[in-house]
Amino acid sequence: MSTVIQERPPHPSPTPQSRKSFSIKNIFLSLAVFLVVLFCLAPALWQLLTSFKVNEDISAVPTIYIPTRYTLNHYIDLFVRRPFWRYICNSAFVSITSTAFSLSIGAPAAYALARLRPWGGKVILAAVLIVTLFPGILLFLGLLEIIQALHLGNNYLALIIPYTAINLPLTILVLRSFFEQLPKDLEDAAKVDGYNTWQMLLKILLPMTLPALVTTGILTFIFAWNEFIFALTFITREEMKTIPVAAAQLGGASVFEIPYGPIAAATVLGTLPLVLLVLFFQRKIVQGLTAGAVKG
Amino acid sequence: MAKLELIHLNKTYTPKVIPVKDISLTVEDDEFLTLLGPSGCGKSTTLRLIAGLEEATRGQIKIGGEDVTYKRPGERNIAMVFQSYALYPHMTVYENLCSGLKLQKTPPEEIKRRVSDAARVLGLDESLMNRKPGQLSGGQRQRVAVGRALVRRPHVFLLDEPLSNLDALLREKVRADLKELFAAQQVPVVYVTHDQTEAMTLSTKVAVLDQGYVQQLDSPERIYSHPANLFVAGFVGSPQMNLLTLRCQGRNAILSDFRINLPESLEQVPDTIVLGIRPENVRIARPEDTQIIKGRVSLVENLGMHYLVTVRVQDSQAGSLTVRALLPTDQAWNREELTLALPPQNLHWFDVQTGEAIVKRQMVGSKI
Amino acid sequence: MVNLNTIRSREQRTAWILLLPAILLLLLVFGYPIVRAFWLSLFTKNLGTELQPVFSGLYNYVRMAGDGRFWQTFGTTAVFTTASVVLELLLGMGIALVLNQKFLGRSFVRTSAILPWALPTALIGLAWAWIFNDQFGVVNDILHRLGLLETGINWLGNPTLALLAVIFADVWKTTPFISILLLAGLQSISSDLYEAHSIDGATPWQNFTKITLPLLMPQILIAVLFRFAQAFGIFDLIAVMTGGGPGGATEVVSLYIYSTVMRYLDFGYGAALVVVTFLLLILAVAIASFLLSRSRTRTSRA
Repeated sequence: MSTVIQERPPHPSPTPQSRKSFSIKNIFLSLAVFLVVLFCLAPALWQLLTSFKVNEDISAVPTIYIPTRYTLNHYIDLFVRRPFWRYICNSAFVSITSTAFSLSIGAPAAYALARLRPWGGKVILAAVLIVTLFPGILLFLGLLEIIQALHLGNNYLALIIPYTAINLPLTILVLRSFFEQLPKDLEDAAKVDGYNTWQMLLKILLPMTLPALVTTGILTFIFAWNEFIFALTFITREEMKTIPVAAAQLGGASVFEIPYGPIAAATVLGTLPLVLLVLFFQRKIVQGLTAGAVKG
Repeated sequence: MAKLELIHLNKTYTPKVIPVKDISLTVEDDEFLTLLGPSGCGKSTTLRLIAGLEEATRGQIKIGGEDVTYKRPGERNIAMVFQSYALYPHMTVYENLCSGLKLQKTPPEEIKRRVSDAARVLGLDESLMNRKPGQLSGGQRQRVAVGRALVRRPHVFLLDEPLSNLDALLREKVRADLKELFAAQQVPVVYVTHDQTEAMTLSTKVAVLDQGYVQQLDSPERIYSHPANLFVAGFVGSPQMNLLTLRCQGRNAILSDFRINLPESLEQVPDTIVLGIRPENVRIARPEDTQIIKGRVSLVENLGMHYLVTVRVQDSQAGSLTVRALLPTDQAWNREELTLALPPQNLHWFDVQTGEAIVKRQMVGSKI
Repeated sequence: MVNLNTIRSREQRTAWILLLPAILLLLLVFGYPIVRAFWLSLFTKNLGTELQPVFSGLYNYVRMAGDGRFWQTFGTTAVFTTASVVLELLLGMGIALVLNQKFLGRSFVRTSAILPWALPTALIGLAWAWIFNDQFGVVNDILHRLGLLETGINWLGNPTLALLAVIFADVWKTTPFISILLLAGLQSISSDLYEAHSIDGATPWQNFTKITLPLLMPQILIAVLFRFAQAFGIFDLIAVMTGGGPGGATEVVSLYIYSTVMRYLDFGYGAALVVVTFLLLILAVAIASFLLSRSRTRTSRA
């Protein structure tokens, strides 16, 4: 029996027709993408430009888009006439502290829910999910009373504790889905080696959880930094304010003059840390959010 | 000394899910016990119960006479090799090896000594000690996993399908190494696998499990030669044993036109009975054979050293029965019709209802 | 024979110890204010009572029923929420479909898409107020240059336009985020399904309605639920952009509650408002979960 090697007909090369429609689709796609990006960045970019414009340019009609001259006056104004550096420190301190608390309280809780299957675990999980939906306005009244009663007004704790609590559900959900995906074998091996639960968490699991902790930490930092209503209500002393509140309350030299320049500069400075975070960690941020949302 | 005893172990998750129904067995100091069975038979659950990774619903576990049923895994003085090796990815090989010892506050010189002993036995080079598991090959990781168990000097070794992630060639070599290794340890070993070859070659005792019960607990040879019930007979041995349900008449089982003598030890002759014979025991009939059958060849599979021949025997009442025979390649035989001999000493009989083996054999039958 | 020290019960103890701090904190910050609001709503506590609580039963709720301003804010909130969520969903879905294609610079686009969500709402509110400024704002400038306008529109000074501006700002802030969530969902749908469907002769639109939408439904519902809750309680954006004006045109429920408590010091009534808002939210959650579980069983059966 002889075998015949058959030649396959060559693949048809793309016809000119299909190549043309291919590039039309490409053009539309690029246009759409460009518009999307423009849409997303426009306001921030506009504030960036405004912050460097001299006042004449800012109040020019019709609008001048590219500054004729550049100035740093607005930025200087922020630091000279107002304690902007303090605002930055306040925001940073509150955000970092509440993030640290959120992670150290949320990670063990997430582990317990993921691996230890406690009685009532499902109820707790449902409660955590539902609680994520509460807008701050529902809580501020009760919290205000507590803070007044405990004389915690104008105390950093008045912000740190609520922020930690508000970030807890997200922390627990994201870390829980992460713990569930860890190979069970490693915990079995650790148990056989003789680790108790605490040692296992600290020495075995935590090092492996580091990426998830970073992701969650970034998310909680963003939430804390951006928070407004509690920061507005609970902190009234000027030098303790956080950036969003301080920027919103920037007054001008006279009562009729709204300082658009310094406001723009404040916006840029107030968002810079976050922009940097997003730039470096965008992949992780998306991972964290979708993990929490999808699994929920 | 460090005898392992399982006494009426039961693990019930829900009324419908009971992976371990009632298992009792003992493993002595120098015994190597394999838990063999298909997936879902309860072997892995039993191993986890011994380890303490699952909690027994009923029953007792004793190690060295001490009741450890409710003790944490770390308190039972056992060591386990996992199927996936479960090496801590963020620790070096050295740290992986000694993590259990560190927890037990073993003095550092002792740790060093044990690690180098184990490394020597397993052929783990010094240069590997500072690497992380991710930088090792599969075979190296497997050896580190075994090493981690060795350095613990436990009372019982537990191994959960440690070879299944290795490629076929490596598996044979490591199998031989493991056998040598654990023979030198003189501590009870419990090994879980679904691979019969591993079970047969490595162990001193085999427990065949199915549906949460021990079907037979015996040496590998006896499991093969004297299966206690239908399940064991059909599970152990490749190619699978021929199991034929036959009618009985008088003191014979009827296979088509052929009669096969029932064993003398059978007191009451039932209506039907199950006959078992391994394909490797079926051979081409020689003139002096008395117990024979004849049928048409329906399938021939070339297995290299043998042909696996499927023969169809016509039965007036039961339709056709298939008998498979393993025939050597160097023998000539008729490719259409075959006369096969069923040597009486290789026949197994089983009760149709219970599946239990009927104590055996003998006999000389005659063809009508 | 039950041994109290069994592995399982030890696991339970450890689990609850690990959970306790989180549970306590959540109860304190989330549980207490809600319960307190329920309780306080039964009292009158304002300047009239010299800030002492006086039991008044359901009086606050009766007052709410007849409170024109409340109903107005409720209506405004409803309009704002519905418009925002619908727009964000549609736009977000469109953007997600676009982003699902392969093209260069994907991560740059993704970074840009996250920025609106990541930036502080208050600061963004200021930016938008500036953009919609009647004298110097960019929007008026662009419209003027396009020849669509003669004189500048006073966006934030016109009741309807102010609401539109605020909705626009909110859509800007959240749509990219929604699109990323939906994108993740889109990417989890195996392309096999589309290929098989196309072989059966399906058009792209049918692909969308028969495969994409049903499989994406859980994500969509979750996104809608979250957005609904957020939009319903929105405070930062509107407080900074319009302060609730002009003339209360953009005053949403949360702003009303805030001024009731902080400006008018009417605590009892404020608490009643909180309670009603809370109950409405729970209702929405219940409806959404019901729909969610139904869509889940439907896809699992498929």
